[in-house]
Amino acid sequence: METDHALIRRAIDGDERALRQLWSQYSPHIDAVVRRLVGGDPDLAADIAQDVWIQIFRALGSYRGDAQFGTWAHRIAVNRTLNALRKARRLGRLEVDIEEDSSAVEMDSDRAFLAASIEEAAARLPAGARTVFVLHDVEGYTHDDIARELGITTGASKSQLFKARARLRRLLAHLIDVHTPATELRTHVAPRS
Amino acid sequence: MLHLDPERLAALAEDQPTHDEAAHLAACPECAREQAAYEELVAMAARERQTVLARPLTDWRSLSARLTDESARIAPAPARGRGLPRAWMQIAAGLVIAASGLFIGRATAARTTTAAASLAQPIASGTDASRSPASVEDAMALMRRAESDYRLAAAFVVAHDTSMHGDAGIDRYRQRLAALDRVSDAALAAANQAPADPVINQYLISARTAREVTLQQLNGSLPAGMSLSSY
Repeated sequence: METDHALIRRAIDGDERALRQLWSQYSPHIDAVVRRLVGGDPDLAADIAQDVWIQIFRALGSYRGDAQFGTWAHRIAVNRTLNALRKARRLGRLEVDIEEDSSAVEMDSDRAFLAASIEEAAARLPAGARTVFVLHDVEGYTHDDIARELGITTGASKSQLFKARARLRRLLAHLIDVHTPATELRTHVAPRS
Repeated sequence: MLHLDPERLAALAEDQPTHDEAAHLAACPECAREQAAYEELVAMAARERQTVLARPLTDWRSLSARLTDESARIAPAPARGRGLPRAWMQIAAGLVIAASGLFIGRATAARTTTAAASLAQPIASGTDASRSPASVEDAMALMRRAESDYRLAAAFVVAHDTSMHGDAGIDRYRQRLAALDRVSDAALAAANQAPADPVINQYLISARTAREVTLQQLNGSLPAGMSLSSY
């Protein structure tokens, strides 16, 4: 079986079949990360995914093989998607968009909505919180990476993540509580000293 | 009993609890369950990375068309192409060829009559081929025209030429493919030396287009039900 290295070599040489094979092999993963970061807008996700592949093919000549091709392409996908979301101004108000949600309204609508998957539930989050959640909990970025990538503080990254998790926990209660039986109404306080 | 805040419980999926929080979690089964629920959520998210089953966001035909469109804008203009990476020039050339293949496929499938009619015109007039170019731009335009005519002619041959069907035809196509591979390799080596040179790129494109056409001719002469996707 042909190695990635040989395949990439042929792709750099302009072999259309090699380009297509790279696309075919890696597009499910690229699609997945783009779709998760964009949320519930399939048209925008499709446009961004195509831009990502154009960027990957353009940058092929700079691929040095230091990382796996999939990792390298994945990084391009994340960067390109974040840039596209910035251009679409979906990340413009990262620090405030969760804060401005009314938690009462949120609780009510969350109770009426049961997400079938993390992807579907994450699409219900504000863009900023979704981005931090996807980058941290799904893609494995650190808070420092996220802060650098999004131009926010690590504290803000953590804050957005915990808010996102709290909401996702409600949206996915029916899936999570299979493993950890549901609790009744709770009154919260923070005994943190 | 008062409980831990959900966002704090969400944080405890990765943070260490304080002394008081740990004491509360030990005494409160509800909070302990909630903490476990957040740990399960984080585990679900980690598994999500491996979940890739969904409707594809891109399809090769439209991606290839867009790449070809970009390459068509890039390849013929040396001034704009000067700063482009060599690899991109090569990919661009490859994709123009891929588009030629698509074009020929469509032409042979549905528009052979149109191709024949288009062919008749330049052959009858005989003017374009005989006049000398007046400028580099003129020469480049002639080369592109020749390339286009070549594709039309090739489409016509693929659709109508039955003289090379059978074993003898297959052998001749194979010989031609082998020869074209050598031409193509030489043109590629030249393109490596002069990646932004439009003449060299034209040679590379022509060699690869001819190869693609020959591959289709070979396919056309194979017995029914057999086809080659690569050679």
